[in-house]
Amino acid sequence: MKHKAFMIDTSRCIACRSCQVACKQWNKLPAEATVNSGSYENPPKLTAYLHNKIEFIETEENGEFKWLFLNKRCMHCSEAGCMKVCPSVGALYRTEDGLVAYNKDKCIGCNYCVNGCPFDVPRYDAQNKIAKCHGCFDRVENGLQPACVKACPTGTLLFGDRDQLIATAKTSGKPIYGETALSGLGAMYLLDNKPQDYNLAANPTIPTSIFLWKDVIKPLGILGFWGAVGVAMLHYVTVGPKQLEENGTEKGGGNHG
Amino acid sequence: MMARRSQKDPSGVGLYPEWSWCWPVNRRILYNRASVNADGVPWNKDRPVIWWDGGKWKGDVPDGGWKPLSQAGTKKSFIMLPDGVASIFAAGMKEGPFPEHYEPLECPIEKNPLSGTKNNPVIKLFFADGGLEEDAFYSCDQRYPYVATTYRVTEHWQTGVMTRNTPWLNEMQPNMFVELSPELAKDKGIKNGEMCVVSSGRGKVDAVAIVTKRFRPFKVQGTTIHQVGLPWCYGWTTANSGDSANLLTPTIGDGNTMIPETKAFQVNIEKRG
Ligand code: SF4
Ligand code: SF4
Ligand code: SF4
Repeated sequence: MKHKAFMIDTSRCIACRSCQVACKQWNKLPAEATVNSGSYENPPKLTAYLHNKIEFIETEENGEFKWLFLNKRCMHCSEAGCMKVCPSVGALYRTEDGLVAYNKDKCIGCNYCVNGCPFDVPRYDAQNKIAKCHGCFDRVENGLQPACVKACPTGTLLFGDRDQLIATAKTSGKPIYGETALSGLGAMYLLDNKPQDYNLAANPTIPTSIFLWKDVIKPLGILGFWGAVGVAMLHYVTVGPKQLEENGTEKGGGNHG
Repeated sequence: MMARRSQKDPSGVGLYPEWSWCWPVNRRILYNRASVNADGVPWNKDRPVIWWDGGKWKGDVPDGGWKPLSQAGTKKSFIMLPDGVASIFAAGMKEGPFPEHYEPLECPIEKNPLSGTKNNPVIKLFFADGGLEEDAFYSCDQRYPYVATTYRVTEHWQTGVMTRNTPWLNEMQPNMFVELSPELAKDKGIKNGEMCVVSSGRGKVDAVAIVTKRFRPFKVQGTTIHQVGLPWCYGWTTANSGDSANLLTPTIGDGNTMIPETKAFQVNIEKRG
């Protein structure tokens, strides 16, 4: 599989936030009520209706003011914590291009992916279904650039063949964030400063408890989940619908193992 | 045409005539006939922009197709200026002809350090004409010790009446703010994100404080002068957007253009009680 990816050259970003708006336009996401809380940055965090956003970070370098702009989004990790923990098969999936997309119809709203993500990305919409950057797979499959990339006027946001993006980025001599982390991120940064200056973990990792979950408990959990459903069905067939209502709340019990 | 990206440069001087498009006729250099002598030969033969070659102009698209100056029925090179020649100062200004520094009508210092005349003598003052209270001005007044300037933000166009009512844009810049330095914020006990009142001799507005190192105190003639900044794209017609910065700005017209002096005037700032 030839991976596609984003390369985000932060030094070129002018914080015009065309990317924020273009994403909302393409994905038909509503605006949310916000207030200024002492920063140009708004909304303050990613939401179910905001799949990418610019962080405004004020720093100083040799006594000179320096503004850092970081496009925050799902990093489309090759080793994706969200996918590892997701108990509902097909709710989170990898596209042919290697991006991490989702199917809301299959999302059961369990919130596990929130804990599995090292970058605090997944959100839940009003219907309690996952929402995050899906890499505009619908556009990409049709030979188009993601909406945010298309709208970016400065060449900060680039999208294409991952290996090629890395090769070109290397000619800048700047370190690439995410080339190898989590088996390679599908959204990488070219940073001017240290990752910590952008509030990025130098070595992002999936919480260790997740491995236990994924390798031991999740298989059991899925068994337990369907087991519970099976018992309920049996119950329905043998005892009738009224009791099922009483027992129904236990249906998801197997998930919490 | 705008999408053209040819890097061909037949002139060799960097005109790149097939890179994008240059309004109005893809001419790259204005008044380019001034780069040749009366016979149409480039003044600088090593860097020709345009030249007369057997009854035709070659090189850049000529700025007006008239023949070289030595020929009959021609026109001088500076085709948009009344006398057709270059100027070292603009004719027809009410003051000048040479540039001079004047202090703004409202300013924090008593004397113009660069000239004996403090303010531009040809500005239009409304208050002086028996104007209204909201036309008053207060220079070097202790009640309004800080310099204020107003500006736009990327997300809103002009006063924002259209963009503030475009929800996606308003989400990013929802309401009135005032930017100030950490030093001034400390002096006034204002914390980032707190609601403040900014007042001038003409009015007051509520604004959220953005405390930022992008604002720095000035040292002017040995004293520290603070500056605050406010956008002028908020106001009525949008819920929760806050008031217009134009309630603060002075009523004054530039002597030539009547442009008001919204980039430098005096205010006070206090935390809202
Ligand atoms: S950044 Fe988070 S949500 Fe995106 S792929 Fe990685 S783990 Fe999943
Ligand atoms: S790739 Fe698509 S979904 Fe992701 S941030 Fe860009 S526009 Fe939004
Ligand atoms: S569109 Fe590009 S330049 Fe503008 S804020 Fe987004 S990444 Fe930065």
